[in-house]
Amino acid sequence: MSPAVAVRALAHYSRAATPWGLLATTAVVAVGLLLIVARWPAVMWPLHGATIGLLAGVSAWSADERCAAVVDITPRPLWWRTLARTPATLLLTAVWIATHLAVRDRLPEHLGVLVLQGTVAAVAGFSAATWKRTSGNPEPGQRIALFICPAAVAIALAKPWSTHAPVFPIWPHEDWHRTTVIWSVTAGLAVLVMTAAMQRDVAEGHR
Amino acid sequence: MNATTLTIVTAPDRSSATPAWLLLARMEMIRYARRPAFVLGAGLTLAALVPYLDAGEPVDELSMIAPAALIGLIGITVSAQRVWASDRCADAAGSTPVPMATRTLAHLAACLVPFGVGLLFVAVSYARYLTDPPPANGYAALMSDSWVLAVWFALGAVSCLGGPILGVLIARMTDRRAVPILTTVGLVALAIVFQGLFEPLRRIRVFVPWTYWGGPFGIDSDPQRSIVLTGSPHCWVLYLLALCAVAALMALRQDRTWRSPRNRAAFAALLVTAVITCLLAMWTGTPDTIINPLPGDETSWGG
Repeated sequence: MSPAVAVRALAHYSRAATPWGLLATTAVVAVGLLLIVARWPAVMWPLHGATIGLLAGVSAWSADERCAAVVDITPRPLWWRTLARTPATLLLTAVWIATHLAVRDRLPEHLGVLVLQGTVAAVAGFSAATWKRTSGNPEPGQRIALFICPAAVAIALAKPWSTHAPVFPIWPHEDWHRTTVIWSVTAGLAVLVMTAAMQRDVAEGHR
Repeated sequence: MNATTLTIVTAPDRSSATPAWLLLARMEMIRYARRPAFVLGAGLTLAALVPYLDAGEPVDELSMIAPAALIGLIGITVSAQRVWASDRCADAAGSTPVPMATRTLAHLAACLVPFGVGLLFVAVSYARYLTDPPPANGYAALMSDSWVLAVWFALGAVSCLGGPILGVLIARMTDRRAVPILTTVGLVALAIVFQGLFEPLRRIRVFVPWTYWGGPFGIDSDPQRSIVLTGSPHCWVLYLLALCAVAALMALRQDRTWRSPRNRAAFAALLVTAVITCLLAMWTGTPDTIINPLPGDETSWGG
């Protein structure tokens, strides 16, 4: 198969596999929530954490394969199908970064950390769902989303142990360096999980 | 030849004596208690009580957000998932002997599990409040014991009941998996707007199922000054319980067998009770905002 045909096949599959409706709704909701946060940052800050949870959940959701019973026995390997599903995560990340750049003047002076949070959350959700896909679970993303979204909202609101583990900081006196470490470690784990999922798929026969 | 008489002694069949909904309720309570999301939330909530092992640690009067967020909010999706899972089992089993209303009743009974944890959290906090007076520059020091108990019971315990009941209702009304998530985010946005920080909204804020009654909201000269907001938390507790009952009955009425005229009358009565108690919560109790004369604590801000 020529590269052009291969890319066309990937694009065709990607167009059909991406949950565009869910993605568009999430993008609009995310932008809306971030604009509210930018308007009243001190009061509305828990919504920033809620948006991060939303990104992670929907990103995981986009890795679901409703027709798993069919695609699992096709010659398409997991890496190929995962690649075809990445537009959802990339699009959500792009929306996150663009909105932050647009309203950065009204947010805490740690734009890098804020961008890192959303990007890592989206990648981590996608990686976790991809890993669960290798266990034969056709739609793990839904379950992950139903757990991660409310959990993120709850942590953003209650801020448990925020002195030791500032997951969603806002105030200047909070330990932003530690937040960077927490999210960087999460990013590393997400990459490891994704790699392990690919290796598992190869070990089980797909190449 | 002796005839041998065989006597078969059978153990009493408990399942026939116990109502089906009670058997199911027990199972659903155990299942709820084993849900990882609930275990994690309950663990984090109870961990907030660990500082009280130190006898000198005063009660944290802003800590009621922990059970509300970590158990109540998460309970919306936990409950919805439980209902959908049991519906899938019922569909797979075909014609089941247990009607939908019985299963709904069991799921509603399972909501007592998170409520129990929330109640435990409030009980421990209140016991510490009674033995070790709260900080004089906080909001609890300005009010009576029954006022504090009503506020904490509503914020810390009733929220752990209301969230899961809402989850049951959502699952009974729709099978769209995104609805519990969007409801959670929407509820948080609503609670933030009506938490009492915006002065024009302070009187009507009590229609929201979770709002603050006091805290370091600040005044012009002292941004950390504690104040007590207007309204009656006693009536608010009744309003919240009425809301829970309305949601539970709505969930049960999704089964046609529960749509009797008597249930309709009960539903209407509960709705009227909710409206009356909400209005009473707004217009009775503390008539004006009370400001603590002592300066606020720089580190007291908890949201």
